[in-house]
Amino acid sequence: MVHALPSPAELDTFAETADRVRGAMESVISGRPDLVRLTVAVFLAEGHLLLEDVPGVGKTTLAKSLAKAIDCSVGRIQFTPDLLPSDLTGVSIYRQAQHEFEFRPGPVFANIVIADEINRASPKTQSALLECMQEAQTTIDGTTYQLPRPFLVVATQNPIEMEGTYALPEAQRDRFMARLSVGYPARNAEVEMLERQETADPLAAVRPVADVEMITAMVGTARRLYAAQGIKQYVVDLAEATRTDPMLRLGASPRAAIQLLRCAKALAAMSGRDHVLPDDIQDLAVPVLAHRLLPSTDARLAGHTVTESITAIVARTRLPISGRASAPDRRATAG
Amino acid sequence: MSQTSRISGARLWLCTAVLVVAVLAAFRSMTTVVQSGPWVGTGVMGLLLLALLLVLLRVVLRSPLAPTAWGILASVLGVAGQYGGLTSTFSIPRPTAETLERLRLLIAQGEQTIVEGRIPVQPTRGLEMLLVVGVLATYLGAELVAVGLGRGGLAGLPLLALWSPAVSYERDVGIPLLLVGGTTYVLLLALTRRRPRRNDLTWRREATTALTAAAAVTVGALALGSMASALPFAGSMELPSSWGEQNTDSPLRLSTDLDMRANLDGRSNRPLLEYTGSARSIGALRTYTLATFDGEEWQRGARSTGLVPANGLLWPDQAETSEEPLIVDVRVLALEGDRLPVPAEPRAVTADGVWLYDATRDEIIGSDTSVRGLDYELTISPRELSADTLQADAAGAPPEGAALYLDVPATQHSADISALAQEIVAGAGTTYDQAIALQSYLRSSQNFAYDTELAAPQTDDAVWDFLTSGRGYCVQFATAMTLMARMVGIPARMAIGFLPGSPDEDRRDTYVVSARQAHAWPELYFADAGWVRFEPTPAQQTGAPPIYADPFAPDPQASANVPTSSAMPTTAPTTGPGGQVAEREGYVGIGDAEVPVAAFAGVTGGVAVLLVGLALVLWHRRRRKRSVPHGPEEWWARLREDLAEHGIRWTDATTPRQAAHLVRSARTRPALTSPGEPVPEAALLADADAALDRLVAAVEADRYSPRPSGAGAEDLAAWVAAVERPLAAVGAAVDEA
Repeated sequence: MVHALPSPAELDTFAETADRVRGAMESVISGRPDLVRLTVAVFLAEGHLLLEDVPGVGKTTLAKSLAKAIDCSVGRIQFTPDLLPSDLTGVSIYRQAQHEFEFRPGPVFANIVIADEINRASPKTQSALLECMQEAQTTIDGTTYQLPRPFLVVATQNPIEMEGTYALPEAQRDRFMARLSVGYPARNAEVEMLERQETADPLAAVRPVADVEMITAMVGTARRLYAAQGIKQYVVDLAEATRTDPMLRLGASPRAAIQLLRCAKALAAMSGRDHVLPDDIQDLAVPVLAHRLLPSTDARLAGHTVTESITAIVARTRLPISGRASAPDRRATAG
Repeated sequence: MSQTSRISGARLWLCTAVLVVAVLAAFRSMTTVVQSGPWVGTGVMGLLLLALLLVLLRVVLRSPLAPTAWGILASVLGVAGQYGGLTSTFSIPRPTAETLERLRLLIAQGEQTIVEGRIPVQPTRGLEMLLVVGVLATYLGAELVAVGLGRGGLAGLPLLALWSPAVSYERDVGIPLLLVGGTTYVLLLALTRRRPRRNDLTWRREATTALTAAAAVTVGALALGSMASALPFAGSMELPSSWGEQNTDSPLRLSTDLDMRANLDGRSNRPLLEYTGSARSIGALRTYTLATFDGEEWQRGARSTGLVPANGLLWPDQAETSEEPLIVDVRVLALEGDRLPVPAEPRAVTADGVWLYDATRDEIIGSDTSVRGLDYELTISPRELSADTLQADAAGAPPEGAALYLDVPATQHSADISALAQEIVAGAGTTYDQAIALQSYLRSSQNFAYDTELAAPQTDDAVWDFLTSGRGYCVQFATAMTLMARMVGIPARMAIGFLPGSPDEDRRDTYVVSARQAHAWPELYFADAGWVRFEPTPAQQTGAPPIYADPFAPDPQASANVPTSSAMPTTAPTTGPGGQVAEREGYVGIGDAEVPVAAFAGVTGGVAVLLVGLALVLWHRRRRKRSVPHGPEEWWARLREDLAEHGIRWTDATTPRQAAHLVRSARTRPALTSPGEPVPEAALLADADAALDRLVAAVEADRYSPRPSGAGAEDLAAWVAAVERPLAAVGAAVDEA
């Protein structure tokens, strides 16, 4: 595929806009710049985000702050055990007067869909959402409806050990580009948060800093970023390592490798670079890979987590050195 | 690179001092192998002068190799001046053919002494020169790796080479000396250490490496040790523990009634007899032969068939000799007895008085009761004995019949001994091979240890007790071989006499036989050759077996056939007093070498391996130095190597940015900025940071961006230098401190 590399002007715009979005989000989510950065990167890479943590740490707030920072449509679904697929996608209602069915789109028809506590819904409903995520379209009563672009699902879930939950199967977890854990804020960040919440809701004060067109352009820019041959090999090396690691029962899928590179491009563009560095890949390895992998029985018994395995793999996988060998891509630059 | 790792200032002087002590300790260990002499003083003086020269050169010169080169030149000149002149004192060396020839002869003489010397070796001038060259070379090598290249660990190899003779012959060098050697080595390691490493991870990794290496070395040493002890000559590695001095003026009489159960009492160094001539040519001197053994004691046994006047060539049967006879003058000092000590080879005797020859026992008997104070002349016409001729020979019957020499005492265990003997000779085709198999079995230090104290009797068979306890001295070894030879059908008898004498320190060509040389050995009868001596007693006491009976001899055929005169290097005109060049006679059959050739070859091989290793290290370093990095990637690799020497290391999985972060955090490590230690200047650090960022950007652009960095070679070199500068500053300051 031959495509022009993003121009410096495009990259500047990209970095500037991304910074503004991050700034808006950080005014709400205090003390977690890294979390905000990864969230924005996943959004600009057209991925879907899974936020997993205990209740009350700000999963939904993070999703909402992103939605509010961008002038776009937002749908929010609170998943419950009795939620039906049609509650998500919408229903066709028969209009007696016109003698025809009228489609009432569900909350999934939005640029940003916040799916709260996705693991509380029944598997049937979960899979309906996941289908939308993968296809960016939905079919109701034989009619296919395109979902708006960009389309981002931010799903939150409680750790599966909690009561009344249906764990997402591996195949469905694989659809999420990244899983982030919000975690408890640092002590002073928590104090700051208390002070902010004292007088007003900071979320209400967030104003949109970008619109859908801008985001669409940025998504295009990110995809055209340069990734050296060595970087691609490095991504594949990491994916292969997860497949052969004795501590892991299930390794990374090729889809995982694709999404890792795509997300790394967005992250690199946010830094104003026109090329991907191994640092980008390493930063994203755990968020992008961890939720797709399964630890082996031995690893579980020994108390090793998947995150530890990935960290170990990153620490031992050799960096690409001969990255300049990527001749075809360079010719594309010249042309 | 060399700037950052150079050993300089006080550390240089300290390193040199420690190294000098280490080399001196190793050199001192040589005195347990070679008798003291002028070489000790010459060596120490030369070493001190060389050390002073090198340390001064290192202060002035920056190259690690140049001082060593000058040191080699100075050493060569010094050695040539000391040993290449006509006098034994120092003279200005002249590069003439005569000087070279003298040095060559000295080297040959030194080699000869090493091969034929008996520990502690009497130093000849050639050996002295080799020793001095050895200590100088050791210092040059150790100094180059430890001080020049900063690799203190490798300096252990040359030092070990100097220690190896004393260690491999298990000489008692004393605990203090060993402690000095070990301590100086550890000090050297500490002094030449690159950088104080306080990183926990590094420390753990190094500790793991050290433990693994120590375990590997231990296992290797154990394996090598057991392998080495399986070699026949390893018997020489055993130290006599009770060769006590016996202060008695009473003359010594050799007992003919050897008791297998008697411990060997301390024997004195008192000279019993002395002779002029060559130690190599005369071999062992025999007084008695014994034929009957009752399981505990030896009896004279063989009845003589008649005594004849001892005129002409004395030998039981027709002797075939083709060589020029060798004439030896013998003077009996404090030896009693009516038998004349004579070589176990055809010989004629010229002595005052009436002498009778007993052909059956092959003894020369005097009419007088004692040989004490007698002077006599021996004309020895050695047989042509070699492994090949004996191989072609077979066990035969002596003229008086074989029955007496095949008789074995009936004891509870005679069947066991016989079974063992059969097992040992299994696979040996010829009589000679069987004899060698028996001899090798008894000489093997795996099976037996030389001990003058015997184990308590367990059975009625002293030989069986010896074979099971594995402890004994010459009588036990010889008896066991004699009996086992008889059991496999080879007529055998015991011989009693003396091993060849040691060279006298003061008189040239004079050899002294003391009570220590008293010895017993088996003789086996061959159909053509007659009675042939074998040597089952381990080499520490007896040296190598006779060359015809030595499976490890270089080439018995070649040396056996060399005529007497031509093999002898024309005596070196330069040799000083005591510098006898031992003659290698054609008749080396009974030659006894205390230092086995194989061990000498091993030491030489070790030194060669050492030198090759050193050459490889130097080559590698030179190569690295020669190649100028090309492009950001190679400069980055160079920086990585250099920083690793400062304890800043990263893996292949570390990105350039992470590496840069590592460098920054390592530089501000508390350890390097703690009170009392210098802190790099802020300006230096700012420069280094900027250069590091540029270098990282260049590497990243080169590796991962669509456009190459465009950084020039000068830029890259300057950046790398700037990054390394603060570290070098700290390193130098630490050195000074």
